[in-house]
Amino acid sequence: MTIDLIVNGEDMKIRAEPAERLAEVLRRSRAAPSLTIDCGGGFCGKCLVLLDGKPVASCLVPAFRARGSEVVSYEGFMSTQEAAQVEAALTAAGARLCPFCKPAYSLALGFIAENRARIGEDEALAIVSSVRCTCSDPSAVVEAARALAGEPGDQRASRAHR
Amino acid sequence: MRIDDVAGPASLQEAMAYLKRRPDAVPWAGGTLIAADAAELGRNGAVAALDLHRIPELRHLFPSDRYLEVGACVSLNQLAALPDRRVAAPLKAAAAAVGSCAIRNMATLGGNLAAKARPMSTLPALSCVDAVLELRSPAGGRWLSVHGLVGPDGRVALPQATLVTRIRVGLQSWDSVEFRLCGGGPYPHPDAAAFCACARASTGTLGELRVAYAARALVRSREAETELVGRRLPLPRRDIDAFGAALARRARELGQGEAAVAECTRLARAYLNKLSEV
Repeated sequence: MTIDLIVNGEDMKIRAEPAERLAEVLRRSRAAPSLTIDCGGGFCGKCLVLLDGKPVASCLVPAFRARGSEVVSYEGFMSTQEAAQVEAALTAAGARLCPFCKPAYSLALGFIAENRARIGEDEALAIVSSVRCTCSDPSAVVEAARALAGEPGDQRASRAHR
Repeated sequence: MRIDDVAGPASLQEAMAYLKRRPDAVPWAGGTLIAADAAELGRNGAVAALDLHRIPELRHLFPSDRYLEVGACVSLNQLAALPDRRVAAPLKAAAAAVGSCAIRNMATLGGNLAAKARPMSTLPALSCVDAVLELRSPAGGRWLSVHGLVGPDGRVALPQATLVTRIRVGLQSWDSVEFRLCGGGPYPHPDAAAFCACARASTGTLGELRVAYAARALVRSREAETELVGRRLPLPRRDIDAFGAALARRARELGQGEAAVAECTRLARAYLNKLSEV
């Protein structure tokens, strides 16, 4: 089947088997080369993307479910204004992430930054705990999430430009 | 997993028309459970998928003063994020306990409830709050208690070519609510289980009690619950023991393994012991 979707702001038509996972489709189409498929069961969260604005495990999303949807991967996220805020928060928290989990953590933190007006600290922690990786101390990512969820936007913006 | 046809209806009427043509179609709400168990699907040939997420009425919440009606494709994260006064506490706790946030954004209440392989985590919560379900098939619609959907073997038995479209849950308040995931591993592990209990008390007397456990079957003993209603708190040891024994008996009748029998008894006893603090 042919799937019409928007990936990182670009209209795409991708040929896919109906049961093929969105994660596989994005990797195959080179729309999200940074995306990692690890556990394949939604547990590790390394295949996290934003589907219609919400973080989801793309290894559990069949290709047909993504028809007409908007997908943002790490590549697309890096061109947003939240990317600099996330990078600054991770640096301030001392987080050193591996290339396998950094895209997923960054997307999760970016979602928190973008929705900070309606996301409390508990929800922010629940969002980052969707990603599991042993490369670094998770408390650093948690600290970054707390900072992004709780810190007033003007302070964060000034730190990002420092 | 082999899928030979995908339908993406934009209304319930279109969905029913498709089900009339393909009664074997697999209803696909969030699809997290189906996708996680993809090897099973289509083992005996290709299947048709009925993608429900574009049907607006399945994605809405219909609140009122006395109850909340939840469209079957409302995500578990949406439920977990509702203010306490707008959702029954046992259901909110069950929704929040499922998987990770990234999974809850996809997983739906209808999909969790209607899982074919085994009872899932929201079933004991929906049982505790005596939820009522709207079922639709090409032959028409009807409302049914959640217990009417559970067969004599304690498993959800949704008829073929039938969709759960709405779940109605009363908004009565509870003085004590406990929900926990338990068993031998997280869902979709075959030995995963969930325990839910809630109670109301007034002037030191137990006014209402619900205790449900779901492993490979839904275990609940209404007779044992009724026995305890009206008793003074804290409950005496012999009453708690009798409740545990009744629940264990029910679990064995449903063919639950000894590990599940022991776990549901232990959790129920612990909950009843804690009730003295209500």
